[in-house]
Amino acid sequence: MYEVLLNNIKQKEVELTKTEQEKLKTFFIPKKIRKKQFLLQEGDVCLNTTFVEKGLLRSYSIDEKGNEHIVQFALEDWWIADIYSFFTGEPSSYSIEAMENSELLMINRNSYEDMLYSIPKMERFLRLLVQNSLIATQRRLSGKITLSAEENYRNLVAGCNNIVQRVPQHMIASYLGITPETLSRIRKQMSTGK
Amino acid sequence: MALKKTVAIIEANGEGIGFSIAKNLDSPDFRLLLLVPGFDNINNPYEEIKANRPGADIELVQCAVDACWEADIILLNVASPLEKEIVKKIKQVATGKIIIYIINETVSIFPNDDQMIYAINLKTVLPHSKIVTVYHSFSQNHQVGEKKETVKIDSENAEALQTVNLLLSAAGINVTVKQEKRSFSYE
Repeated sequence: MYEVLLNNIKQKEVELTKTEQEKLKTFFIPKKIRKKQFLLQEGDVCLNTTFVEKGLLRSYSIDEKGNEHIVQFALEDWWIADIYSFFTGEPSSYSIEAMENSELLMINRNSYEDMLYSIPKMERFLRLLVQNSLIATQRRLSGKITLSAEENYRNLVAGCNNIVQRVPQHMIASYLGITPETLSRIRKQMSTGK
Repeated sequence: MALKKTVAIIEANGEGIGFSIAKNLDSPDFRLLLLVPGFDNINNPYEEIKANRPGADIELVQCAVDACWEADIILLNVASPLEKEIVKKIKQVATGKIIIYIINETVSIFPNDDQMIYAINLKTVLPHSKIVTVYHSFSQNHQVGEKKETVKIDSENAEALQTVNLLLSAAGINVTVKQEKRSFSYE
């Protein structure tokens, strides 16, 4: 139930002892969620940061016309939350929904602080996590500003082909901020080898 | 709009509080997972529940561990010899969740000693869960000739206490909340 998380920590070269691993487990709420169930609804406070042991989720916002804009996907080994809402306690502007039956590990604000206090090695883990997340966010932002839709799609396929395989096309389009028609045209061009 | 909370009722048969919640809960805020042993029998309590609440978000489950894994709130409504086994099984999926433990005071004025001891023990077995104890009793009023049901709830965790109060109230159960002040409380 905690294998993916423990492995994720190990990969960041943070070596936890057996005692620390057992201690770590006491801070997370194990939760199964079914496809199409919500983890967070817009307007609620995001109480937990969630690690995905198994499954696939997405976070999205809805504009005034009712269109969904996908902010993030999270599959196995990834974290998902409305970070702003989690740390400030302000209402969230995102919803988080399961796209597949998923197994999650959730940690709330208090447990998060307690964990960092009682397992100081996790500070290093969190620093690396935030560092990677910042890089990904910066890349996504600069991609959106400077690259063409096709380049952004190619980068997504190269970096996270897993997502492209498991997510419906219209949601990929929403994530890239393009229409499904544009995405379909890009895919066609790519398959004909242009 | 608040997210629906999932409640696993282990087990939802008999006449206890678990069954009472399953039958009478009237709230869009909760979703129920019921473990009903031998539910393919003719005496299926689920049929009665469905008849009473046709549109309810309620589901029968076969596995206690899976149900508790999915749940935010776990209601333990099992006979004492079974309790230890079930608690052992669900321990790893109960971290951070609300556990409702029911003490039936029907037999005597004082709670069953075994149950009391076990309620205390439960806190040591599940130290990372939020345990809410429910004291369920009937007193006989001989003058009027009717039974009076009393339900008291108690927990060290104020938030858990409030959630359980909401759940029981939504099932039409009158609850007295008594939160004891304890020196080691985190609240």
